[in-house]
Amino acid sequence: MLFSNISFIFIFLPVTVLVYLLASPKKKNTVLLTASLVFYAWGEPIYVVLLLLSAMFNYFCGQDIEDRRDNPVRAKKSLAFAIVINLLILGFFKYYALLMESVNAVSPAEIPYREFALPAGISFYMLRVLSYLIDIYRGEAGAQKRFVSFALYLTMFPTLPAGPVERYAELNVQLEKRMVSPQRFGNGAMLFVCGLAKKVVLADSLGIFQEQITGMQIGTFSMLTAWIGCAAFAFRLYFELSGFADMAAGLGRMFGFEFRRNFNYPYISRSVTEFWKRWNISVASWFHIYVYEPLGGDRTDSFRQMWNLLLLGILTGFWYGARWQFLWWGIYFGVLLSAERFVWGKLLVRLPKAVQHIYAVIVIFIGWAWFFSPDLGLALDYIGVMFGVGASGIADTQTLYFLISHWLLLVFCIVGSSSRGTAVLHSIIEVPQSLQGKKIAACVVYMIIFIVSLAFLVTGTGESGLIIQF
Amino acid sequence: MQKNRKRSRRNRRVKQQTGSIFAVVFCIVIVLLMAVNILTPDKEMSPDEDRRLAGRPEFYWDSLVSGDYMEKYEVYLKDQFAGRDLLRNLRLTLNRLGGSREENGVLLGKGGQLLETIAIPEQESLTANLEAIEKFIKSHKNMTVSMMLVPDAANILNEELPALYSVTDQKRMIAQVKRELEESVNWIDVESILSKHADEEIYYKTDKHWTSLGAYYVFEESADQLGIRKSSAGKFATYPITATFNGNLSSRSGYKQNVKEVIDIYAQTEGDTDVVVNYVDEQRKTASLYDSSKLKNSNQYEVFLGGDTSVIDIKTVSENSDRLLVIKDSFANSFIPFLTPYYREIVVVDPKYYGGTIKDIMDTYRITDTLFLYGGNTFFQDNNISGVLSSGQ
Repeated sequence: MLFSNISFIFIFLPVTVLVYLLASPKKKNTVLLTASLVFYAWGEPIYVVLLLLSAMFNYFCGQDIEDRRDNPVRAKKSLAFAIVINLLILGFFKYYALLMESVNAVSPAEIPYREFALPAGISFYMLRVLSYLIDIYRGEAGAQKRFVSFALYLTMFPTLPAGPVERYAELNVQLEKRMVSPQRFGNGAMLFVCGLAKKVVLADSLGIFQEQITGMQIGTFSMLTAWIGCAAFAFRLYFELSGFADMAAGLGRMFGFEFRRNFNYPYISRSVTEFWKRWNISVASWFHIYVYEPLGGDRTDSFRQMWNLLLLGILTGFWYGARWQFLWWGIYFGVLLSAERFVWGKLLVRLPKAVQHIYAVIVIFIGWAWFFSPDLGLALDYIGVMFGVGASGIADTQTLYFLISHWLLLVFCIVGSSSRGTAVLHSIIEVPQSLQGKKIAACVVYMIIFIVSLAFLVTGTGESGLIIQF
Repeated sequence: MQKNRKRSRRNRRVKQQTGSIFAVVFCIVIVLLMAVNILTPDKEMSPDEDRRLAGRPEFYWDSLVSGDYMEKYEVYLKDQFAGRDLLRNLRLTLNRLGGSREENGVLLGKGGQLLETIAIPEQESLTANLEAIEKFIKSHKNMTVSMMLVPDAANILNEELPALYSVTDQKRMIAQVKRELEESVNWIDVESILSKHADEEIYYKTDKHWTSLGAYYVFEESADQLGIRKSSAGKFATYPITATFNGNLSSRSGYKQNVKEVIDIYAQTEGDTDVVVNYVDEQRKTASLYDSSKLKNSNQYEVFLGGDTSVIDIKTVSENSDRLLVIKDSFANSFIPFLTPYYREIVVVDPKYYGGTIKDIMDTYRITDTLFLYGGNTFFQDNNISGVLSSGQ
């Protein structure tokens, strides 16, 4: 189940909220855990068993690591064992098919294999598991004694499908103590409504738009059209992921949790380095804390740093999905991160801000062409068109048609992907003079957003979208 | 700067205080919508969208375990959502405002003309279909096989396309088919006949099909090629059979749902026109090519031959001894009435619905001529022709 399902909004959520509010404080975690398992089982009836078994395994692993903390060698062995098992599970479900496909591509005989459906949210789940185990090993947090709280950390339904990946060391306090109030509940609902609109109104419409362009045959569209297609994908991915992040944060708040912000207007970045800090922040910082830092971080020599940045890119890319194009995207970003640090970073900051921004957008958009193209050859072809190779011209009537027939969507995207979006929303709410009027205006505005989202959700042709691949 | 900070502090305050009010509003709206949804009875059909709506899925343990049940349940909730038509109109209006001229594969053209977007061919099934057709022709050497591919409106009514829209070139696809089949088939160039009349009402405004006028022009200009000697028959009078037709493109897209169109029928004025129409699978016989009961349905185009079905056997009183097999899609339904005076028997097969083999047909009826009649989009996306033609051979 996803947050953008009718069954979620009108059946699952009301029932869960009701039971949660009626439950005694001691039972609240149990209620949330049960709800989360039902939530997961709704979409993945079989895998919920796997989820429970994995949670139990890691619960004991956590205990074991803590018990051996006095003896670093034994603790390390215990941690290594747990990590290897978890990575094997992840590898089996997520990367096995890709591995076999690649082996078959080079081997003379076809080896038969069975492809398993990817358990939803497994990539986010694994990051949480590893964060828990490593935090205990490092002594940054104690092993969770209560299985319910532990399993809740791993499977909490707001963060289950698409993050954010909260570190265990940071969330464990909230697992024991948090506050629900009507005010926070309402604010959470407002955030949820915004996220829902981002996903079903913007991202789904952009999906149809983007596939119209990127699905065309190379040679039949112009340079500018290629850039518009790229922009459509860039906005689609952003609004889908950040929409889910907003819905997660909103739902979390409705149940008393506070999550960190996962997207911070990435498209206003002036460099790739800045973009990396604003995009999918919880995942990026996970890789920073648990991969980049242990490898020496910024303290090693420049050659090592370059290598580590490349590794960071590769791992992040592969984390997004088991397809080669995500790897190309990761390598591309790893190289750019290094280049900005050691080659043109200093030069870049001396340029006018507008130029920096244009540079960042161009480079990031090219990155998305790797991301959405089904294979390397097509990615190169598409990027070629963006620079005039194999394009039908710089711009043509088709380009103009695409722009005119989607002008409002594009305006919403551009405004909505910077802090101006919120500012516009607030200036509407601020129109009435009295405080009472402003409150009513806010309710009306958010209700309109909700109803419009419902219209797109109920009757739209948008599918479950990109998130399902991760 | 300070003013900004002050304003953002005030914004935050408004937002925070709104929280508790919105909590109440949100809960009330959700509960209200739930109640309305529970109280509204399920509908079987959506007249606006002209399609069957999903019903409550049946519960099986297997479908629960596979997750199938939950997926179906979501579709059911969406289809039966109270106020679905209103919500759909809201979405369409917003899309229209945003500049969109395309919805669900339907273009909103100039002058209220709706046009289906041109489909890109499925190369694999297209090749298979063409091979099957060629093989079919080779194994029936004494038979004349004619072919009509009717281009879709978007390729003929260029003037009516939305401004700046660059249409996929279906003419090129049709030319490719022509090149491959030209030697073995009696190719009828529907495209150039219709192009000559592009400024007349040869397509419905709210439906993808040609009007009876469009079909008539093609009949008139292709009769010689079809080997029809137009004798005393061939004079027609036109009658409007309905003036309230709102076609499938309209229901599919939600555009122009208030437009009412006329469907004309062309009736022979001379000669004996009695027919016996036998719907073979349904074991139902009528004496008319038109099924006026369909005029009560939302898709009134089905008045022609009662819509699409697997096999229809039409017996006429024609003195001619030829027996024609028509392998077709829905475009043929309004064309066949023009042909009845010239054949003793017309057997109409729609591969999309026909589950038998072509051999059965050839054995049962002593076919002398075959006509393939398809609309462009259906033909280029079809994956049934090759199956039916190669079965039992």
